[in-house]
Amino acid sequence: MESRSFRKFLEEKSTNIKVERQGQRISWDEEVKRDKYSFTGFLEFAYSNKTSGDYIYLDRSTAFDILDRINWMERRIKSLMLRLRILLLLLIVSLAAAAWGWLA
Amino acid sequence: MGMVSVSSKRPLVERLREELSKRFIGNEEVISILLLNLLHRKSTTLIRAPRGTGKSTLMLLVLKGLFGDEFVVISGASEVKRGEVVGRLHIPSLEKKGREKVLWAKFVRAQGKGIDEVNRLNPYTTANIHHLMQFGEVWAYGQKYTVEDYTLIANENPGDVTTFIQPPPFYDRFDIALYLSSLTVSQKFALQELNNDYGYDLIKSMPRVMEPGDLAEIRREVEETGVEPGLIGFINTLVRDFQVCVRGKEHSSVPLPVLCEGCHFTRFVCSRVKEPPSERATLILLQLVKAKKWLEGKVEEKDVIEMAKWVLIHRTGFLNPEKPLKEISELLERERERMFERESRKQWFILNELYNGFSPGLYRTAKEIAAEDNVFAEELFSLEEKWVREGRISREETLKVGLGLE
Repeated sequence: MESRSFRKFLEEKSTNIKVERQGQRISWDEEVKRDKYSFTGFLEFAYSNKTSGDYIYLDRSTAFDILDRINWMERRIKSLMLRLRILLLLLIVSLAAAAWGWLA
Repeated sequence: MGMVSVSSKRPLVERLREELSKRFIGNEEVISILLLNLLHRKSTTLIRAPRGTGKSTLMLLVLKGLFGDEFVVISGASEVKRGEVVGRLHIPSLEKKGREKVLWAKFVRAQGKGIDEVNRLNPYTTANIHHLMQFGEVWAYGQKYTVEDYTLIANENPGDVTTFIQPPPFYDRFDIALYLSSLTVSQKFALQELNNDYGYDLIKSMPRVMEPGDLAEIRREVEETGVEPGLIGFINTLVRDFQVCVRGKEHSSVPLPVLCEGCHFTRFVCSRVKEPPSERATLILLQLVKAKKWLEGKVEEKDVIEMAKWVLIHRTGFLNPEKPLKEISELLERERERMFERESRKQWFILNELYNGFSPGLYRTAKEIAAEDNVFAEELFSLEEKWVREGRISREETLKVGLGLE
């Protein structure tokens, strides 16, 4: 259900936004603060301890690199989780066997 | 931000603040929020603190300031009987006329109610008070008593070994929960001076600052105070950030953090909230915003963040519950940044445009934003459903499919 007060909120949030409309196209300017350290490259962002700009841009190859690393890490986490579960299971089995032997 | 006309009753609240500050040392931050919370109908406050930090003193000072001697305090530490909390049978009526007449307890009838050590109340008493707070009525011997407007202040030391564990829905009925800290050295000196000045009876020295009708009039005026849609939106978004889970935490038996494994939104507030706050959080925040606007003439988004600390702390189950004050402060700090990012991204403007009409370019931008904001994503999901039905986009194109949620 569409709420009237929600639309009112959206409209109020839109009133002070300055945009240019050309037919169906809408564009606006983004203010970028420029100072000594306002770099926007991802590698500088990752390896420098200086303050970056508000926006960090990635080129396609860096994005693919990051995606590769994330996928690798996810696979690694999954395999480690599996190993952990197996070890846990073994521990339970051996504890149960030890308890059985002690009782018998 | 908005301005309101000054009420003639405002000086009364300022006077209450002054009289409280003269007698209550330290924890100034909580006095402000406590005062604001008194300004709406059926106000309930919970004060949590270790032993000897002034929680009972603060409770009694406020009740005395508002109601003089016309308030009732029950104590969880002593044996509380049903007749003292709800009501008892009028024996002569039963004996002479065979009629069950209930004499309703002063606690039920009084406008000023206090509960000392609420965590030590027995479950039966808690259930009665819970019912009173939820439905505004109490039952005894098959008869009902509807309570009028009231102010209820309770206190507890969460560190005490209690006889009973009160249920979370009971605590949810408290509008705010205030945490008091122990006094610093200089504050101890100040307290000793105060005790000397007031003959070691701070409570007795507290004057009544309001006439019976004043509080009702103030509460009526506060209720009628208007709040801008932008600020209401801010409150709703803030609370939603604490509730939202794209993996359906509310109805899932998988506990956190297992449920969050591999989720796109793991760095958000949602991943540190085990049990989300109830919708009451939004209602209370709105009441507090109205009260602040009525009292001070204006209210800003940063004030809402400050208030949220006391509204959310007892309603939220944290993943790291060991230090709730630190946890809530950290999460609210994240929220402050997140709200700023939302403004920078112009996301509400984009959503507004999409509500006005589908545009492929803006939809692409909205999808990128939604990947950074789960609350925005939820709103986009519902728009996508509409567009899929209208045949503007295919199911495969949707963000839900893109995030692997469908």
